[in-house]
Parts: sequence; structure tokens; C-alpha cells
Amino acid sequence: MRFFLQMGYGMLSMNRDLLTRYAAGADAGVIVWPRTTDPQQALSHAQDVHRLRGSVLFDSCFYAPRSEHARITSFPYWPSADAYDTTEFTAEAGRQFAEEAIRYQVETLRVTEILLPGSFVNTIDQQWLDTHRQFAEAGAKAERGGRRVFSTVAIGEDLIVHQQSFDRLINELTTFPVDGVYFLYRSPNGQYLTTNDVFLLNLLIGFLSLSLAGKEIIIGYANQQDLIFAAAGVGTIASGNFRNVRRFNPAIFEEQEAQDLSRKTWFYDGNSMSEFRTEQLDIAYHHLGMRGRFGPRSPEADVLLDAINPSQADWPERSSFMHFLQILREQWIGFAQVPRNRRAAAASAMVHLAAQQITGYRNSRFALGQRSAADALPIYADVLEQFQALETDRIAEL
Amino acid sequence: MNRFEPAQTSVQMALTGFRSLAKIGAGSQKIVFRAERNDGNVCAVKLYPVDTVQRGSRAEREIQAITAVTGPQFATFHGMRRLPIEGVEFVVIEEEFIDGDTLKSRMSGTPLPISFVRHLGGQLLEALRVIEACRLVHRDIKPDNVMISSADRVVVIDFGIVRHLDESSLTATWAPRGPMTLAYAAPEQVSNDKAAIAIRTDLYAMGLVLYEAATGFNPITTGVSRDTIPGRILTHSPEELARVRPDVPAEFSRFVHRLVEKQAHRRPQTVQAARQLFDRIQWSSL
Repeated sequence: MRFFLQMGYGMLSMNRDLLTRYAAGADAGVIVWPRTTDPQQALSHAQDVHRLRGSVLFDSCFYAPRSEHARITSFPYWPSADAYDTTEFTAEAGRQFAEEAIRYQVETLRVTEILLPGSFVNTIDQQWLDTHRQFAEAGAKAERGGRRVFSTVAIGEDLIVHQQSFDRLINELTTFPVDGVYFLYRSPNGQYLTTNDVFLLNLLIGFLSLSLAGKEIIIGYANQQDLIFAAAGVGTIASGNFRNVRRFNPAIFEEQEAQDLSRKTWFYDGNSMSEFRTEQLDIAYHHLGMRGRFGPRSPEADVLLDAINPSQADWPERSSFMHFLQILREQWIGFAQVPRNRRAAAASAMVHLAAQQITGYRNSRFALGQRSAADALPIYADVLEQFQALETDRIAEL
Repeated sequence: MNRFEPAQTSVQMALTGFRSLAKIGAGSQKIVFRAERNDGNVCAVKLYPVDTVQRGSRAEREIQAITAVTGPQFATFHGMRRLPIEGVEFVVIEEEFIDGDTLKSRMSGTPLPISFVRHLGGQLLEALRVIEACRLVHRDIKPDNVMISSADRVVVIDFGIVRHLDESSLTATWAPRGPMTLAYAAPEQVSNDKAAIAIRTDLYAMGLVLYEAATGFNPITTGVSRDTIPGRILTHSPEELARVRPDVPAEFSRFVHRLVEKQAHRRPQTVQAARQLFDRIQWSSL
């Protein structure tokens, strides 16, 4: 199991601190991106991560090929407007673009593994499949010094819930000449934690097929919801600080935003897979007798959880993010202790425990607030149960 | 365009070194003879007219395939030459003659003994392992294309519509579907989803062949009109094998149903993966 840090505003120093704490090895690293860095910063950060012995990957953020985002389009591999034939690449231009993106990663950033470019799509069509197969073939042929190559598949909710389209996508991906897939999905209705059972079940089944086809899966822009995908053989998740890097939204790659930060600080309660405001913890401590029920702890969380008044504790945004990333990583890496073909049961157990925790909070009259997983957990539990029933034989093959 | 077929006397005159030729089969691309050499040895002779570009390309692909696959599950390749017969260019292949029956005639609508079905499964997997290693997809695994010798040697024949995964397709993308035998065609063949065609397409056909060998009937085509078959290939799931033939091991039944999954991504993706499942089957009741 591997846990990567996804870039976002303010992640440069956090990446260094977290990698130092992780005593990073092959199971930790950073997915550098162009959205909040210029080429020089990206290079310098990649060098830092290498020094800390972390893996370096690079997300080219090609989700919106016609992007006008100044930083994203300033990178040397970005295609010029004449590479396109109306909306899609000309065949030669597509191959050249993929080669440029690979060369940049290999020669400039000296990445550990190669993430091929991928554009966002919400309905599948042959042209998209052909273009991405062409990228994959370029990756297979490239001088890559033994590095593994991942196709980037960034897709929307309509495609995932449309069974025929999603099957077609997975049927093709299983034959791409790549080592794995860097998978990014946009949730139905932009939900942070999804309550669409068909959506989640289809993802689980698709990931299982990819895993059984020998493709490693990296889920990018992940949050605690993605812990359930350990059930389907997913080996790596990547997450970051702000919510825009914990849930994939292709819109953020189209234009530079003036302000896309949410400045409230939250506490990730891994026990319930939920996030709470510090003011909620005040009430829980003082009026509901719930001290000691939140956790697990991280080096940052002690000051918050031991405070008389959590809302008055020294709990800056940075601590909130560091804590989230620490605990999410622990939860994810914890699956490494379980054989792959038993992780569905382990994920199910994790979800049930979190749901029990929520029930306990409710019984204590704790107001769960807007970022609790209360609505999502029963869906996760049902979906995992259905997944295990439908896929008993295939899960056993993991 | 119909294939050109020369008179047998013309063939006999053009092919030197044989004292007798007996036509044993003919398809859209070739004519096959049982041929007795002057030294008394028997072989199979296949004649491929290359009178059109399309036929020439298909013949070339088939010849590439049959020279690539080797092992007891295939006829041994002896040699190839080009000859004009009645003014038309032919490619002539000589290969081992398999003295036996097709699986189709062996079955003749009756279930085969489980011990034979097990043997058949193991041999077909071995054949597909070789085909996969050559980056090929046979695309026409069916009882007519599986020979069974008198010693129960299983031989896969007829690479007439073979797909080479590293070469461009000969079927137009806009074509409704590529070449196939409908009764054993996988859903991705019926929908001409070329990019999805891989060894798992042959595994699907193998699953249907095993189902038929165990039960005596093809679960897709039996009892239905021909025009409903394409739809059934896409939507109809065969009745559970273990219910139709209760004495087959449950794991074997599950194995067959994994092979005939409608969605290619739900089948074993490699022959090795299928082999692992097959090897786990408890045949102890045999």
C-alpha cells in the first residue's frame, strides 16, 4: 500500500515535513503538479522529495486540453493550439505531446513513475479511447529507464453510472500497454462523500477488474471515502490539504482562480471517518462528556484533543491538514497488514466501526455537522456487502 | 466475392510429389486436402487463393500464425510454396494430417464424460497459452476447429480469422462486425469492439465449448432462431452448468461461467489466470 501527497496551495513545506516524518521510502511520495507551481518550483520540489527518499510523480493536469490556466499551460510539454484538429489531437501531434510529457518527467523531474497525460471525459467516445491508447503506446515505447507507466483516466459521474459505457472503458483499459492507471473521478453532484451506491459499486467492480488484469491503481485527489477501494485491490491513494485536492473537480484546471481556499479549520476524526469543527469539540467536551472519544491522534492532534477548550487550542490550518494526511495515511497503510483478498472484509469492518462510532455520537446527542460521514457510511456498508456477495470468486483471486 | 476453386485435376497436376489428394474441407479462404506423398506419408495440404488483396492479407496472417504456434496442440508445419493453378496465384501449405474426428462429431449432441471434459479443458488452455504467447487471438475456437485424435490428442486448427495483436486489423472499423462463428462469438466480436478483443475472447469461446462438451448443447444457440442469436450473445447468461449437469464439480461450473462472462473485463485476463482457476478445481469425485 502506498500513500502519496497531492499538491495544493501551501503543500511544499508540508510535503517536506510529512515525508521526513514518514521516513519516506517506496510507499510514500509526492505527486507534483503545475497548477500551483511554476516549472522552476516544480523542479526544485521534485529535487527536495528525491532528497527525502520519497517517490516523485508528476500530474500534468491535462484535464482540460483547452485550458487557459496560465501556470498549467506554461510548462514546456503543453501542446500548442495547432496540435488540434478541431477538438482532438491530430494523430502525430498526440504522439508528440505524450512523448514531450514523458521526456519532461523523465529528463527534467527524474520522476519515479510516469503518469501519462489524460483529459477529462464524462461520456466515452472512440476518439477519447484512441487518443489515450495512443498516449499509452507512446509510454510503452518511450525511453523510460525501467520506470513504470500509468495511464491517467479522469472521468465523470455520468460515465461511471452508465453501465455499458463504464464496462466499455474498463474493457479497453485492461488492454492498454501500461503498468497501471492514475484514476480520478468526479463525484455525483460534487459530493465530497458520495451517497450514490451504483456509482461506488461500479467503481469497485471496475477497480477489481483492473487489479486482476495486473494494473496497479493510483486514486488521485482522494479522501477518506477512497479507503473503501482497498477492497478492490487498489494499492495507492493520493490526497492533499484543501478539499479541492481531496475530491477531483476538473473545473479547477480550466482557469486560474482568484481564491479557491476554504479557510475554516477542521479536525479529521478517523474513528468516524468524519470531520468536525473545533467548536463542535468544545460542546462535546463540556456538555456531552465526550472527551477521549475522538481520534486517532497524530503529533498535531494532541494539543487539540487535550485542550480544555479545543476551539481555543493552537490548531492552525496547517495542523489540521497535517493531521488529516497523517491519519488518512495510517488508515490506508493499515490495509497492508491484511492479505489483498481479505481487504474487502477489512474495509467493511472499518466502515462498520465508523458507523458504530457515529451512532455513539448520536446517542450522546452530539450534533454531527456538515462534514460527518453519517449519510455516506450506511451506503458504503451496503455497497461493500453487495460487492463481496457479487464478486466472491474474483475477490478471492486478488 | 466467391473464392476461386480450381478443378481437382488441375490441383493434382500442379502439386508435384503427391500420389493422391482427397478434398476434406473448404472455407471462404482455402481448400484443404488429405494428401498422400509419393513416399506413402500422409499430410494435409491447404490451398489459399491470393486473387484479391483482402484474401492475400488474410492468408498471410493465417500462415504467420500457423508457423508461429508450435506444440502438441497444433498441427506440425511442414512447408510452404507458391503456385499458379489455372492462372490464379495460390499459397500452398503442407502440414501434419490429424487423423481423428472434430470435437463436434465426437460430441454429436450428447454430453461427454467428465474425465474427457477435464482433459479437453486442460489441453485447450495449453493451446491458448501458446496462442497468447504469440500475441495472437484465434477468434474461432469452436467444436469444428478442435480435432481429437484416436489417442485423445486435442489439436486446435484453422487460424483463418486469426487476429495479430501487434498488427492493424483487417476489419473496417465501421463494419458491423468482424469475421466470426456466431454461435461461439464473444460479445466484443458481435459488437465489433476491436480494442476489447484479446485472448479473453478465445477464453469466452473455450468456455462455451466446455459448456457444450459437458451438456451436449450450446447454451446460446440451442432452441432459438438464428436472428435472435446476436442479441442473446450480448444479454443471455447460460443456465448454471452445475444445474444442467449436476455431476460436474462446482468449481468447474464456476470456472466455465467466469469464461463466458459477457463483459470481457470480468473474465480471466490471461490464460495463466484461467489456468490457476482450472488447477484449483477439485475433480476428486471422478
